[in-house]
Amino acid sequence: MTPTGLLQIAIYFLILLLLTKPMGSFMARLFEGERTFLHPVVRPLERLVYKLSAVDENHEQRWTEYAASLLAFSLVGILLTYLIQRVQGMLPFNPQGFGGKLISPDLAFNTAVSFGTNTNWQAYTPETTVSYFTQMVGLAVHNFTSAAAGIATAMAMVRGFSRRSASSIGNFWVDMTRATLYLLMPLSIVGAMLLVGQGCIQNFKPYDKVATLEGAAQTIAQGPTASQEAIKMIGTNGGGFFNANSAHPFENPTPIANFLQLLMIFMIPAGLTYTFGKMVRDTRQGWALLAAMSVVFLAGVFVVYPAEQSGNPNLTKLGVESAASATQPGGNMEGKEVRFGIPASALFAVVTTDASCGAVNGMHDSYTPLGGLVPLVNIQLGEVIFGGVGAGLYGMLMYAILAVFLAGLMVGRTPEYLGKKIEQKEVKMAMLAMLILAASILLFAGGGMLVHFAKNAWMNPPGPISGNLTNNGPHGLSEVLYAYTSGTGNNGSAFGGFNGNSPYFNTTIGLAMLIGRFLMMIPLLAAAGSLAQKKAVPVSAGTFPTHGVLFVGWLVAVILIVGALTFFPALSLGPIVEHFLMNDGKLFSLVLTGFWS
Amino acid sequence: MKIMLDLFFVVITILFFLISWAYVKGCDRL
Repeated sequence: MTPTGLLQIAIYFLILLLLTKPMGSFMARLFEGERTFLHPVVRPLERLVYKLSAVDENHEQRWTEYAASLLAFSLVGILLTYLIQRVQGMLPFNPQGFGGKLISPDLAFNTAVSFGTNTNWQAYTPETTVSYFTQMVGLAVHNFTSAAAGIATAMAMVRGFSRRSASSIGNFWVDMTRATLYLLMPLSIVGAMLLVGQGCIQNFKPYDKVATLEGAAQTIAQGPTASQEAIKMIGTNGGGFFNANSAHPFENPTPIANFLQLLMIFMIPAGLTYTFGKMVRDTRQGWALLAAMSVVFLAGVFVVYPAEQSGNPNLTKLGVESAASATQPGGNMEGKEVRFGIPASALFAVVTTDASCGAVNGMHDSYTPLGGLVPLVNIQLGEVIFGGVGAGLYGMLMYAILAVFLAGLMVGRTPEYLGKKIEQKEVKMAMLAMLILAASILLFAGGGMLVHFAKNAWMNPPGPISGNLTNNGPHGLSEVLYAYTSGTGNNGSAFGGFNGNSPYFNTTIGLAMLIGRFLMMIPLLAAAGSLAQKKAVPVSAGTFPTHGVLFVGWLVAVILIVGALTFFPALSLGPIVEHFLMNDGKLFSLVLTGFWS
Repeated sequence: MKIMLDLFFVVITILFFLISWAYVKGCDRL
């Protein structure tokens, strides 16, 4: 590790902590219905939205009505995006003349679900497949709405703890509207302007055709990138305007743009911990969650960064210089952008998978085994380390419920969290949410490894799925495991090296995204509804304090133990064994078969 | 063929959300 690398990480973390309180205070005021500094400008627009959509902002919803609104809104959004993709040839803002035929039905399904669930897994290649209209209206709109839906669900969950003897947990339409108009849109406007200032492009031009120095013809894709880029990070969506995502110089032109993008990813999730503390009238509770998140976040950074800076020992043995110097970064630079270097790439990989963002500025497939292990584990833990906007907080609260339940079991007391007794219903719902995620990842990935396609199969090229992979051995397993982990976890980043654009993978990863999003959200909303109905229990000598170091340590332990127990066998067959084999001199070659040949 | 596939994917999307609604009702009773 280099001093400049460590300094970058330290400055990033420091600025993030400084942003937490102001962001959190603003969101607490917003979601408690108080006046904010944006009200003079945005309130008339908010009223207009309610009027046009016939929403009564004073109507409170029971959790089932809240969930029904979430499901109905998401269903309509996904179907509309499907339609837009399939008829894009007839729609405007399409200077390249991309037709609907470029997007097969299975790909349209996968992409519509992907953006509707805040995943942004991209089986399509944006610059050769989708028009500007599809990018803006079909995809970028989801970047706002799916993020707002995540924040709304988190707010409903927080109200479960903050309300006493209440039958309702808020109004989904009001939470959605406020999250979009007061939070995501203003931040995205500012973010897009900052990125344009760094050289991120924003235009509606047809693609440029240029001659290279060698005389070859090259097409340079264009488009309204900055406006999509800002919400891609702020909404922890992650779907790139270009296939190379934040490694593309038009999306992420400079190290400063990269730094801003990293802050955009964590800004709202970090702030939401403070919002949580404010809304439950004890900010120490929010700081405790932030502390637990920070511990796991920094642990991840300080595994990936040293692993990448050390590089591949087999290359060092062959005489390749792996130490950083004034003229070269050293370590493992394969799949990384020279303008970012190792620390900013390692930090990006950890941040994007701690959050459910999924944007990438380097190819995770090319990271060392340990460097690739951490992003995989981050998603498998439920992306609760800061996490996706809203999704991180409600995921962390799910773990908090489990942590106090387990602590209660150990000392033989009825567990309490924030004055609410954690009983059968809440624990059942938390376990259901947890098991759904694990089942989707492991069953789909296991099924994918076993399936063998017939000679004339329509769903995928014939034979086993190794034809879709670029690596054999444990690295190939990691590629498949990562795909379903990313889909179920609504992360959307790809390990790379895996071609998932076939009807089989588009359909199964599409289903994994739906399961990971809605079948997790619903039990947590049910837990919120149950908690809201309860009276507060006064603090007594038997109450486990949930704002101290002991609770933070216990919460981290529960997160890691649950993750380790669930995914360790699969991980040991993938990146863990690959790490040991690499140290033993065994590497896995590139294979080009099936799709790739 | 493509129309049938379009229909297939629209139907499985709707079906998933219907199942999700049944899941809501199930979680409410659990």
